[in-house]
Amino acid sequence: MPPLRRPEKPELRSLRAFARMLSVVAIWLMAAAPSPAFAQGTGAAWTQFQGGPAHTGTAPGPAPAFAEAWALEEPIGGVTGAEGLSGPAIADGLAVTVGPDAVIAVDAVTGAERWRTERAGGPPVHPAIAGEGADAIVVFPEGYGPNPPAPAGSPSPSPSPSASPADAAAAEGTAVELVAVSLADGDERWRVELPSPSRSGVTASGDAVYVGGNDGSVTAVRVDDGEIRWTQPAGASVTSPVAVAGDLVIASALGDDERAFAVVALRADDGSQAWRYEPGVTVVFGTSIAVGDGIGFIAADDRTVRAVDLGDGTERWLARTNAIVGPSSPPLISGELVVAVDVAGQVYGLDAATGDRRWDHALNVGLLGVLTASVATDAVVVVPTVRGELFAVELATGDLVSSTDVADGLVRSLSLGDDLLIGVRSGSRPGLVALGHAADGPVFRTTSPTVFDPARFATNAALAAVPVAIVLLLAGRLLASRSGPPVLARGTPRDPIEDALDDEAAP
Amino acid sequence: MSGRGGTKGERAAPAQPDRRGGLGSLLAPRPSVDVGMPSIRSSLARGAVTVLSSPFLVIGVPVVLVLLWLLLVAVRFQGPFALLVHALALPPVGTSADVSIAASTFPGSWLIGVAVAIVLRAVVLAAAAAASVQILRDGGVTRWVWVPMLRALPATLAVSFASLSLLLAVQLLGAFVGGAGGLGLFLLIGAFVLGTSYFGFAPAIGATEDRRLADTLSRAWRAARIPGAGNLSLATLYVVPSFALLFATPALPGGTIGVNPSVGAWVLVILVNVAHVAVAAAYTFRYLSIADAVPEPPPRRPPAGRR
Repeated sequence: MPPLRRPEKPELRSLRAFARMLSVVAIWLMAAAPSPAFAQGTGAAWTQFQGGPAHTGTAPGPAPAFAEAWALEEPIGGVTGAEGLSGPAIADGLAVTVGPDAVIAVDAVTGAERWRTERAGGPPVHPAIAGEGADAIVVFPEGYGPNPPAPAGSPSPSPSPSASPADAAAAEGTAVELVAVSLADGDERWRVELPSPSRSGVTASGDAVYVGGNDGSVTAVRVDDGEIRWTQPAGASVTSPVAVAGDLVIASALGDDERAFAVVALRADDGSQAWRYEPGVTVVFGTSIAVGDGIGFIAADDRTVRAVDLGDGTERWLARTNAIVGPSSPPLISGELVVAVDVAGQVYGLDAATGDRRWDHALNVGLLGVLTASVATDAVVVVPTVRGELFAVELATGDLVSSTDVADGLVRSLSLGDDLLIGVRSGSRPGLVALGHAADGPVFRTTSPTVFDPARFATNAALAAVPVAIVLLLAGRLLASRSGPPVLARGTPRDPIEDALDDEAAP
Repeated sequence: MSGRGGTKGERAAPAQPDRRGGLGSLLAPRPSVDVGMPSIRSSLARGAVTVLSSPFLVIGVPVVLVLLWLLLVAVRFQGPFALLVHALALPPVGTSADVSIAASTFPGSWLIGVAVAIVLRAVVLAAAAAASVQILRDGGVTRWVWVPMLRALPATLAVSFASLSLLLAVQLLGAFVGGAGGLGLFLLIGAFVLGTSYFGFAPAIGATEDRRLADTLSRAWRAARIPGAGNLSLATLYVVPSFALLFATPALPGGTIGVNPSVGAWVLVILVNVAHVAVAAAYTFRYLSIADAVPEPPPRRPPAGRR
């Protein structure tokens, strides 16, 4: 939204006022409506990172304001002591999260633990749920590969006799496998060795799941039996979830000394490259791609959001942001709007077709205040911060309508059910936390500080400038009376100000 | 020119050895006589009195800042407002602020943005130098202030563009030898100190003396190299706190994104910019005090064939 608003025609003003009133009423209605969040099941599916294989980050969800519905406390743990849980995948009333030592399924409505299955270490990346009904499986990678992280507090990589199996495996180095367990009970269905360690998270679409590798490969695996269909190189490393758009599997591949960062589209049937989009040498990393109607959207570290034509990989448009967008914070797609959130917490609503900024809202949450993905419901975009807050910014106007303190550490990796917002928090109560709609919670409306307010601007400037000018001029008079007027003394060997300063310095 | 003419006029410029080459004037040995450069303390005090006793300057600073901010907002700059603490700073400190703002506002064509910012800065610097000269000579600013201002403009433009070149060169060198931290940072601070010291007198020379641009710049260089004058110390005193302020921007009032600065942010930005103008006035005062003692460049020898 341009900071200086042009004068509007009266009819436009009244239309805008009417729209604002409608949105206020809508929010009030959402807030006043009795919430089924704590009573009914979570029917909707958020089967993987950012919801589905297109990674739009959008799904129906609770209306603001938010309040804690349940929490699952789980020590952060892991070999490094700082790995925590993955963002949860949600389906069939279960929320499944991957920890460093276990995969845990909880009732999405109550938070009660349904099953837990051991995991032999590995980065806690976002799992995916594939298949339906009794055949539904949870797929996640396991193992660190040949270069495991050093155990926390131990200079030596050798495990102690009392170390957990995961710690021991991590210290020794393990094979990297993709594992599928039953969604219903956690029983293992299959496992297959991957060609490379993976931090990308898993993407499920149709009868296949896809993972990116630290070696830059993308691997397609059959859902039924875990057979690898193909593995293809995409870049130096693929560390964010690949997206699926029709018959294309699209990866954001980091570069190295020889290759630049690129978005690479592979054909789903054989992994052959369909197209490759390189934003340019100034881009070192970018987010995963969010797939819309014929266009994909990424954010890059040159403070840009870019739209890429999914037909041929050409750039459709480029929009600027004030700060970079974090690599784990891909754009969201909500109707005709693309929403990006930069690391300082500025939320941008961009026209999906042109990239024009429709609105923005600067939350000003610090230089690195937003590091993980935001999500969008039908009405608001929910932004998690490293300070443990959740901000809700209205999609229609860009106004801030809710703010909720969720943790005394960071909150991240949000997932959406119909009625709940489930995320991961750290701090004194680490683990999963679910938030539902709070009927009596505060809902307000705050305009972005980037919207120019002439009255406020003029008032603040005058309130500062007038007293400061008066005080400075009075100080100037005082100084001049003590040290002489500010005119160079002609014909005298010494400026009188020297005498005045010497007098002041003398005891 | 007549600074403190009566006092310094008696001091003859020291004789310069004849040197060959185009850099002869720049590389001439530094004179070893006392030219009566005011102390740093009295220079700063006189600069402060010069600015604070002039409603033109005291009111002019917030007016310029308001206009500048409105202009930036009109081109969709969203902050932080605190970057304006160096809006009226001497180059190259001010030039670095220009680059920061231009990079935020015109990321695709920031060099054009920097060029526009530099022209604006040159105009403001010329106005400040002209006003300071009039105050120091006549006790107040007259309606003819635009005459010395126009005379100073080429010098302030040249100094600003030279500062930009210096900034880019040092950043390139810094990236080569050690990035933004460590050695690169020291290089940057050192370059800022040298730049402030050697460019500091140019606006005053431009405003007071009818010289060609190259002559003005070389005279500024020679004035800065007068020994015992404390020019480098003054520049260091100016640059180091300015640098600290630049790094502290996110923590300052007005350090966040937003186009409606708070009262506190305005107070901070106005005060710091008044201080910048006071330092500029201090440089003007220093130059006017020693103008007659600045050595002239050595005469050029005619080419050998014409002897």
